[in-house]
Amino acid sequence: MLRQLSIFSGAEDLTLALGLLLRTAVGRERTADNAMPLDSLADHIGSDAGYAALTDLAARLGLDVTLPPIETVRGLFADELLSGKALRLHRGRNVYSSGKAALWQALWMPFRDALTIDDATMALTEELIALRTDDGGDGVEPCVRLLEARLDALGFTVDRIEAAGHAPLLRAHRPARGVPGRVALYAHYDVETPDPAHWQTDPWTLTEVRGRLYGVGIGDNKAALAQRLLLLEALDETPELLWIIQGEEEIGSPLAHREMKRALDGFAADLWLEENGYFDPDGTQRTLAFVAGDAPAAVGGPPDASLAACIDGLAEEARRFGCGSRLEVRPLNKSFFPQGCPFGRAIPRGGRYLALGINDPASRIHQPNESVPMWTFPIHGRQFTRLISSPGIVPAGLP
Amino acid sequence: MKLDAGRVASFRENGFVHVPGVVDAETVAGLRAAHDGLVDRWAAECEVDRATYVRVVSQWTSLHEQHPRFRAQLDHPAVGAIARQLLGASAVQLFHDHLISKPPRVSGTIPWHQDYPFWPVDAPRALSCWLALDDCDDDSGAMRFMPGAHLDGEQPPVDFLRATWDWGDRIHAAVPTRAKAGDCIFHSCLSWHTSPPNTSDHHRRAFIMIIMHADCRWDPEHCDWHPMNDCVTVQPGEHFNRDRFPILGAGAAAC
Repeated sequence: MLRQLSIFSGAEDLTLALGLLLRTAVGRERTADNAMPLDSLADHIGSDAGYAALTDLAARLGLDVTLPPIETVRGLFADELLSGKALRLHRGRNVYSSGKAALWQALWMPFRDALTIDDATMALTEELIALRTDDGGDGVEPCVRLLEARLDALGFTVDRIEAAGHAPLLRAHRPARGVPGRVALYAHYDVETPDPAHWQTDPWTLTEVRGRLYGVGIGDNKAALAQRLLLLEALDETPELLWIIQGEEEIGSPLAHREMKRALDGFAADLWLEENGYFDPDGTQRTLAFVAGDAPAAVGGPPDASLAACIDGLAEEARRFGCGSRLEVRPLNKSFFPQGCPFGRAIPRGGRYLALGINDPASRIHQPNESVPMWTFPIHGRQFTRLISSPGIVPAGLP
Repeated sequence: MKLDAGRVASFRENGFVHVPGVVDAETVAGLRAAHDGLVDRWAAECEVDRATYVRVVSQWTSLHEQHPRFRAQLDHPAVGAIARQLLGASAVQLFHDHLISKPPRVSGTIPWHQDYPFWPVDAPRALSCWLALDDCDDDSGAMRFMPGAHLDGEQPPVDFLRATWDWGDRIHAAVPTRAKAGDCIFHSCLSWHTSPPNTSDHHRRAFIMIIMHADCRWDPEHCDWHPMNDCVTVQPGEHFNRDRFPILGAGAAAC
């Protein structure tokens, strides 16, 4: 586990955590779980360059970190390697993972909260995953009430758009708070009905396995929804926000296709922010953005200067985590729905579209064992915060 | 050697019993010397000096497979007899042995826990015979027990790195078991016990034999992982293979 070291998975926890730490510090490629062998970690982190990279990382992330002296770090690695060697050679060991605990405390804990999902987002995601919001599921109404309550607490005016036989669509609006511009956000709270026989974990229970979180709908898009709700709690100043959250995306969005125009009510957004986004397998952020064309959901062209500047600012945040960024001029792929995404279709000519989030190609959207990597949350968190709260980041004025 | 009825009753009621002088001083000295010799060899194998080795490595499993003195200790007649008596068994079998050393001033606290939840054994019909190789007192990490807590049954395994077990006011009932070298503390696999750091200037070593009723069977599903699983050659639900899990003492013929 990345959040806590346990004697039941101690060796795995440590190599997952320190592997992620080193990859982040030196900008090395991400892998499926980011683990690295302990001897390799000792060589890299115990080197002058590796140790300096940790100090640089702390500065990049604005962390007040006091690392042990490099000689102490080398000694901790040497002790743990000795313990492992003794186990292999003659069944000796350092009692109850105390060497792992020392390394965990010295190197991982100062960075942990900056490099993985935070406890509050974890808890809200767990709550959302447990609500059975598949078509006709008994978790739809509790989920809608939960979202309404949280949005209300954030100062949104929430309208519930309902129709018989349909899951409600929420329209949440909040006036500007000290930041110019208007942002339209999109999300959905429904999920496909999972087949537990094909899952390795309970799909309705948030489960952490080797640095990833599993659960039905976690990547599409309950985790991103949970994180954005909590991020907004921490932001005093934002532009005018209109958040459309529907509950029927996985069955083709019948109510949303019918009601989206009424829900948007002519909202002239400077930016249309998609529900989620992706990272490549090597950790490069795959930013999707375009300026809309004439036909519904048509790409009119690449980002204009204003949107490009916004994307540059977001790339700067990714670089703090050792991640590069690349741009693809297209929307998030939702071609499995014949009519496409009602949010995308509603973007008027010239509207600026942007997709960023927490998924990666291993997320297996709409498949058993859907998951998200834990390391993408803090990057998305900083980017969303910068996007929503910094004056001048949201592209100003319609092109 | 057999325990009197009072000690047997105390074990059943409290979950542990302290039996002084089970192993003579000469035998204990021999076990200490054997361990010292092994430590020298192991440190050399690991290419570190002895001081570094003992600071880091403090627990060793299956010493009876590594030195004849520890193998001989399995045949100690009193240990087998007392184990059979306490388990109500005609024959008992070794699950494994291990030696735990708390070196002077560099050890930590082992939190309150039960042993059985960590074992791939199908029933809690087992005990530990904790043989003190050094005198131990409160300063050197004497074990403490919670009398009667074993009667509450098996609880989930304690994560030693995140232990939060809280006895509340019951903590005042905890009993320290100060022991002389050669004493044995027999404790149920469901007993709750802990040990503080060794803050003294001398070692606190104990040779522990985990002994089970010979009718126990291998149940790998009972715990996540155990190093002794590598030594099992039978199928789940079968009796443990006796080549690596030997029958102890005179009861062997009866099994």
